[in-house]
Amino acid sequence: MMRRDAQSISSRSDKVVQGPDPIGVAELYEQAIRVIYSEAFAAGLNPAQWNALRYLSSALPERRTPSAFAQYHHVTRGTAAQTINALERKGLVSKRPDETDGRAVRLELTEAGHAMLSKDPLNLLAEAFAQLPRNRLEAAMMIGQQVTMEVYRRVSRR
Amino acid sequence: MATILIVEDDNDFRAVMRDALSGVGHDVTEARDAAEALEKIAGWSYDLVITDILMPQVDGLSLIREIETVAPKTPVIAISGGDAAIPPAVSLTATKAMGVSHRLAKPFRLKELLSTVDEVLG
Repeated sequence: MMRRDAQSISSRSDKVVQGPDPIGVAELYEQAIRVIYSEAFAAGLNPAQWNALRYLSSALPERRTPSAFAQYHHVTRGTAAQTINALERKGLVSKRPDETDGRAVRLELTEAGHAMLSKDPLNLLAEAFAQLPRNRLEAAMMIGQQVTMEVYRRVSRR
Repeated sequence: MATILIVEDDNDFRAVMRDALSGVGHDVTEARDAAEALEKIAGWSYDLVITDILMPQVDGLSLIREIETVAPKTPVIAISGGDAAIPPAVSLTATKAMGVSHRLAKPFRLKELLSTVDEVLG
């Protein structure tokens, strides 16, 4: 059975395996990302809200503001405010006045926010990468850097 | 006090950082791009390199890779304001993936720079 399938494929092409196909590679990564997004929504947060939680867990205290978050991700202040307000409504983020600038607010993760972050679906992908030997992880890192930046540049040229 | 190499293509921003770090007693050397930085690293041992990420010709990611090879014990602080296409979230995450633990998104306050430098130098 296997032999017949292989023959029928090879009859349409000189080679059965033709080497890496960029569309196939893109689909493969998309499948992994789809799982991560699906897990993200299952926890009740959209990807932008997960990004905000991650940002607030690692940013310097002075940078935990809506405007710094907006600058960091190149989103409008309105979009940033929408994301942060949603997290506040869910009890994951709290706001308090900035001690040095009365007009500004500082954002902090609540206890529930920290607990939510421990279930970050991105960990699934990180754990998969952690299985790779060092040389493959380094290759994945360099490919990730190059491909991600290229995608952003292509979008900005549209 | 420490010997610090600042790699930044924006002259004004580089000068502001130089003045702030010199002002607290550090010995600061400047490089306008990655090629100049590598020349300086070849001739001197620095306690810390502070590098922009999105620079013309050779970017900061390539520079960090070179530093890992030629001066692997030198700590690096990555700074980036992104550009029209790439937000700082992307350029700085690219350095996080390399294991750069200290990263600053531009614009930052000099107080943030100085406290990050203190943290790295211990």
